[in-house]
Amino acid sequence: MTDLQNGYEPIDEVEALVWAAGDYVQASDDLRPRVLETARMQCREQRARFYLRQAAVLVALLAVFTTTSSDRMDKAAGQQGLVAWTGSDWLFARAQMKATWDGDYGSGLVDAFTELRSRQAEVLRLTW
Amino acid sequence: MAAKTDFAQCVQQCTDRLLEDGVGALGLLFDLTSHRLVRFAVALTRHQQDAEDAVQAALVRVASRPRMLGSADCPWAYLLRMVRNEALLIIRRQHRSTPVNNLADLVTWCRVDELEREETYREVWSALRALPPEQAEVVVLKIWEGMTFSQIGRILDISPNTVASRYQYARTKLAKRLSKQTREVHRD
Repeated sequence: MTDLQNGYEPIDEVEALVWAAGDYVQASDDLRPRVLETARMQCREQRARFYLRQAAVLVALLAVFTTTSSDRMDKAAGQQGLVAWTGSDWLFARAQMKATWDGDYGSGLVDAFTELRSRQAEVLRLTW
Repeated sequence: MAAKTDFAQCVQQCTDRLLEDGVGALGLLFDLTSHRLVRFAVALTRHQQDAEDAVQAALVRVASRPRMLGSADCPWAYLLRMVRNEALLIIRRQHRSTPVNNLADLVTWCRVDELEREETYREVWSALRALPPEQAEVVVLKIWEGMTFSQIGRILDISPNTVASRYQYARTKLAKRLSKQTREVHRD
């Protein structure tokens, strides 16, 4: 009795008996779909985890880039002594100041806003 | 493994396909190896469900990391080792006791022209189940996988001498249990 697949030849009766019973136990019918489905699901999850990791790295890089740009803008603004005027407080304070001279808060606010825009344009020109 | 058998070469080809096509090629590897892997795992776990769980865990791992199998010298030996590790993990977790003579949990199949030999097959599997797992696995690898003691030693991480001695012990026990069947073979 020869196992043609493996070139194994049983040398006595016991080995021959055992060899002959080799195909008696089989895998159950549902094992194949179970294995393939689980493997596919696992691969999908693996791919999703990979894309999530990529996205996280991208977000982290963007965050670093944005912070760096913002720092550069602040630094440029600081060099011009203009950091303080970026908030709305400055706008209203400036409008109040102009209003005390002119007596018209509305036109003071328009003047302050125009001044703010021109300063912002100046800072942007310096930064970029 | 110096001289690869035809079967080991087929497994190598399936592994190459798995590396190229990904999980889509797992079906080929399953069709080629599942029967042998389940048989090996049943000898270790002595339980069909546990054996199939071990095979499933190993094959799913292969599908998610095919390079692991692809980089092995002999993918077939590596696959057997993976299934063995999974089976041992399951044995440690479950502590399931299976009656030796009760093969009810096993999925069995017998060719129509061999039905009169079914009783002998059942005796063989009962005898195999009665062996300690470390002897049963050597019997499976030696007789059904046709491996040499040195090849088996490499899979099980033991010396060829230890493999040979385990095999001799197992063979003696099997001969004792199967004496009735061997007498019938002589009579035929």
